[in-house]
Amino acid sequence: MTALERLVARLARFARVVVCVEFALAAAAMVYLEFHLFRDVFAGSPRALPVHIEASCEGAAAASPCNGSIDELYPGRYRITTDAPAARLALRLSPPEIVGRARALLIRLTERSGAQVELHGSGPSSTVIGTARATGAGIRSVMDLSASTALSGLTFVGEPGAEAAPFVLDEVGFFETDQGLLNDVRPLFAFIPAPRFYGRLVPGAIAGLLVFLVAASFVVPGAMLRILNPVLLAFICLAFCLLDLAILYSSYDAQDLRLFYAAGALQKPAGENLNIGQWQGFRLLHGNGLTVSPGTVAWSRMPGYGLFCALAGLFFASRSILDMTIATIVLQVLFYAVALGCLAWAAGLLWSPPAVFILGLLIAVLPKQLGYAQVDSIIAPIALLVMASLCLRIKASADGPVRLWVDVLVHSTFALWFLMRPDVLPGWLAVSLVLHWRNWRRLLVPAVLFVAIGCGWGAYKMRYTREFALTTSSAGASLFCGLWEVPSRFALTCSDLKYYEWIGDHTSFAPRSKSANDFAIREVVKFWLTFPGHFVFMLDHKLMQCLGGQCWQGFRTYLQVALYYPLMPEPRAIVGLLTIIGLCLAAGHERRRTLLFAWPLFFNAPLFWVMFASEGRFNSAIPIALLVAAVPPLFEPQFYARLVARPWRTASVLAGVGMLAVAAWPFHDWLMRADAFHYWTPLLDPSTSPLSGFK
Amino acid sequence: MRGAFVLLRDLSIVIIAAAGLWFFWSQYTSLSALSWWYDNTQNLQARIATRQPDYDLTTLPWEVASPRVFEITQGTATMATSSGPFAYQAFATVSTGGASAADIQFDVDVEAGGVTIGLLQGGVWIAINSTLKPGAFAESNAARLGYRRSLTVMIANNNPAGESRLSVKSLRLFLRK
Repeated sequence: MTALERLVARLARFARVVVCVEFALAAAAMVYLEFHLFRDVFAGSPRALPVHIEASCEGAAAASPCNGSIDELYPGRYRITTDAPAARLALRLSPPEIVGRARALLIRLTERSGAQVELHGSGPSSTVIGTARATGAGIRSVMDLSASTALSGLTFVGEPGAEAAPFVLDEVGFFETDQGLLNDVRPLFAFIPAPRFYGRLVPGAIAGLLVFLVAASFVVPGAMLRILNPVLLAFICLAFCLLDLAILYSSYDAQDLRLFYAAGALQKPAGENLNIGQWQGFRLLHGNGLTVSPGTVAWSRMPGYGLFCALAGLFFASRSILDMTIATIVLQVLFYAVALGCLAWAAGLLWSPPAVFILGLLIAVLPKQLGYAQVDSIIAPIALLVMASLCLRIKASADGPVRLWVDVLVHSTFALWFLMRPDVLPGWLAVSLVLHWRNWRRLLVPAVLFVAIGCGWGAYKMRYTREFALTTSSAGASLFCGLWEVPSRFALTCSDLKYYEWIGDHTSFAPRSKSANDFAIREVVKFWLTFPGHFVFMLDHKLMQCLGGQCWQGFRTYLQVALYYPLMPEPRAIVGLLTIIGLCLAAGHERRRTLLFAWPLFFNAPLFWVMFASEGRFNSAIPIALLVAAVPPLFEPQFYARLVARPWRTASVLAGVGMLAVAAWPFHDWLMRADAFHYWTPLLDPSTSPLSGFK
Repeated sequence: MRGAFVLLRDLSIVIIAAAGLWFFWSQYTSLSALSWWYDNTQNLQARIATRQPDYDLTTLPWEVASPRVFEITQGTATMATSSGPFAYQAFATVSTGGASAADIQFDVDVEAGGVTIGLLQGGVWIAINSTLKPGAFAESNAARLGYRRSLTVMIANNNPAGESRLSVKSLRLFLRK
């Protein structure tokens, strides 16, 4: 060993310790980030003084009726609105000893340019002791009340000449200090405005940090990383989930989560996408069954998400539907993080610690939709559990005969998906057949789970609908909508209302009934046969949309933009990962394992090429399947050895991908213009289809 | 061969450690500098409200670079810039006197074109405010000072179309220890 080598070896020993410390520091920073953001994201403000507010209003026109309503967003923070255009909105405040402690008034006035605020004293005549102007930009503002200690009420007066409009005070709250109202309180870099800090600077820093962590994961001792991976990745994932939410629902420059729901989805009737689950859970917890409204069960949903919401309510809060919604989102976030931790643990049985760590990081940073309280938000964590159970199954099968509990676990994860959404069925069936083709009796496990869930839900719904359906009754509506999501000259369009109208025009069935569902399925299949060109075009168009990014589902924040886009934009990431999967299959590297992990690509994504795709919101399992199937082989030397050993197969896959990259979009464009093919009717008479008809 | 591999691996570890240190340090310094800037610009009005400036428009030692017109009369500077779209026009270099930070506040009427006003140290902008359109342009800014002993207040053209015309009604410079 030369002197230089000795010096470098000594330096490397020291550097390894430094890297471990840096690694720990980076992990600690992310854990701190999530603890810091948790309250900001789910509370939306510091706790306000418990001031009691009574609202009354004067209509814009003389003697016109006007009523004020108050919703509590968070203890002491309210949303106050009038139900009609109003000239004045008066807020009476009590009790005086608590109001007297208020030094800052939080206001967010929307839907008008501004208003005069009169502050009333607590004297018998309730005289005006001060005035101020509130701007109506829909952004938070804070009024200093330090000079108004004897406050008894506030009156908002419309500005002269302004158009009559209802008063919408999205936020009103009284606080002892203005700390934490216009910017979050943080010990470091305290003066950088939160939207810039969390929206740009932190994600940018995290992108750099992730690159460092990836490199450092090869230096940190493998045994230590193997132990740390599940917990560490769960915490990192939790931090990213919360950061995404803090960016998308910042209370400082947009609506916080509570306001987003209080002013949006929860104002709409029960049964909308973003409120149906919470209402089901809320009503269940309050003894009204798993129903959406009195006597109504969800026709287009499985029971799982309602139960999930009820569970969230049990764990966290179920006092109001808003509390229940926030509790649901908290549980979604925790579920995602824990599911990634489970995958990291199970993946550790198959792959090296750095491979698992990098795979976990890539999954943690995927775009998500956790701010939405809807079932599609938790399909990704369920997919993580499915992948984790498959890792366990693969390891068990390599070690010898697979024990029953392992298979029960695998099928339980699929069953959990089925409990939420029925689109898992084709994939579940295919995976079951692959896993148990040598041991048919094990097929009883998925069969029992399927029948238990399907019959249970079917029997429960039957009490309300007098029909028995094992899953949902909306497959027909989904197929109907799927037809019109692609450009065409057909007259019908994709919406629930249009579907109801269409069912009403052609049948006497109730639109949400099983009979209507069966009719729609039959007619859609007939339509495919009537217009095979449209069917082909629909498949091609949705496939291309999928490859173009819809299969990389979720809301992008700068966290994803900073990391993925400079390295690999979504379409390239999808095609790149598909290429690796293709290479594994062609070169014979872990074929069975790759197929098992990639099942959502073959048995889930294509469902939405014929059904309602809703711009890809159902596809959250696809990027997880792509990453789990394609990333680990990159860390396996045998993968490269196989590629070298089978050069023709390798070259064929690469050439195929190249051809796809070059020809797919031109082919799609040609197909889009080929009207003769699109509207070709070689098999059935279009006049007999209730779906045909042109604009 | 094995020796070379080990050497390469050890070197990689050293590089990763160094890159990590650099990363943490650079993030910390840039974020703390930005936080300092926000703190200082947000609270600047309150800080300078009761203070006399160290220099103002009339006491700054102005030198001209290329303006067509630059006159200070009755406390107001009138300027017609050269046609260079972003050319330096007038500047005043003063001693920092050991100050660690500087605040600048100005009130300008842009009659045509646009203008950039800011502070330079060692030829590098350390505080900068720009407008591209005519109208009132009143801003304040703050900057940490480096080790250099001098500081330059700069007025530059900011009009891709050429000449700008403006009146500087006030310009005040505050130095902080």
